[in-house]
Amino acid sequence: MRRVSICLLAFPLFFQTGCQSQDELKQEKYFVEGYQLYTEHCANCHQTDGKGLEALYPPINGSDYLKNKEKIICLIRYGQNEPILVNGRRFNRPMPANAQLTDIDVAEITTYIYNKWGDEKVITDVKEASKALDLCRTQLQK
Amino acid sequence: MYSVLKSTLFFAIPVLLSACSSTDNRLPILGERDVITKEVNGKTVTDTSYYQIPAFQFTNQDSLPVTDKTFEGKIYVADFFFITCPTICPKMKTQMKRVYDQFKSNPDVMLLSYTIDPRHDTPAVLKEFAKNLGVTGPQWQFATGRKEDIFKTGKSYMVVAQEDAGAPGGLLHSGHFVLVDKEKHVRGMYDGTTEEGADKLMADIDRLLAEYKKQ
Repeated sequence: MRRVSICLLAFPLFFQTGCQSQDELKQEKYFVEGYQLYTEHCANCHQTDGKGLEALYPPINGSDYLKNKEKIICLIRYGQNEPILVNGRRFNRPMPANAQLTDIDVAEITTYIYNKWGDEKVITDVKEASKALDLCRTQLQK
Repeated sequence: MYSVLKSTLFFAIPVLLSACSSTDNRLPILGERDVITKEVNGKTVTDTSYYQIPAFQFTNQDSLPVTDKTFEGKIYVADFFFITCPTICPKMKTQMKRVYDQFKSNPDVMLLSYTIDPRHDTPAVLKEFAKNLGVTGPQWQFATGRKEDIFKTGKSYMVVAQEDAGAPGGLLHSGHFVLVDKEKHVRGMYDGTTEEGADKLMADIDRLLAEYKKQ
């Protein structure tokens, strides 16, 4: 009897996870992989909590610079050599490029950042990231 | 790169620790030691001579000399880094800043960060870096000088600091914080890239300060 009731309890659970939509699964994958990539490539300077370090490394968490999403996508891969203004503070240190990051990597990091600290509930799809990356590559080549 | 360093240290730690004595909760004295026999008032006395950090002379962030004398009567924490290092240095500086904030008002404690990239990290560049990190005054010294001298000094702290074409930024260095007492003895080595390492260091600084209070 007991075993039956456990089965009955477990079955709906199984179906529920099975029913998670493709979109939800994709979002979860983007977020989790984005978190791992962020930890590996970004957190050394910008910190795990995204708050940066003093006047050396700007915050991402609570940063008004997040409104420039296309620029963010670009600088994740291509770095930044000019001073940057974040929440009214000027940061002069260059950010190194991360040329090894693929388009999907950049899309996942962007998703993580914007879901975690940018009030976004949706993913930044790889197509959107590729478009922004192509655009800034051509601009950088000029 | 870091894992190589880690494994080297794991190898080194038992050797270093075997040299420690733990009477009344004192921190161990690390490094090689010698037993010396000498004659005092006609009697033969044996004594232990512990390893000491040798003299050094470099230039700090204010373009002033920074030498072993700067740390006379102080306990201090030393580390090796370079400003443009993209890997472990930001982590180390995050943790060292915590140590700085913790002991900011304590006149017995100093910090010393040697750059291993003196060509880029000039006194002016170090000064700007210190300012951006929120560091003021002379308590935290940033040292630069001849590269060969800095590498040699690295060895004297029992850490790795050298050129390596395979490492990011072309330089290889250990991520350790080295705790040095007022007698220039090395009293502890800590993983400067983790919160746990820095926590252990701060606890040991308190222990070391307590040793001097007892005297």
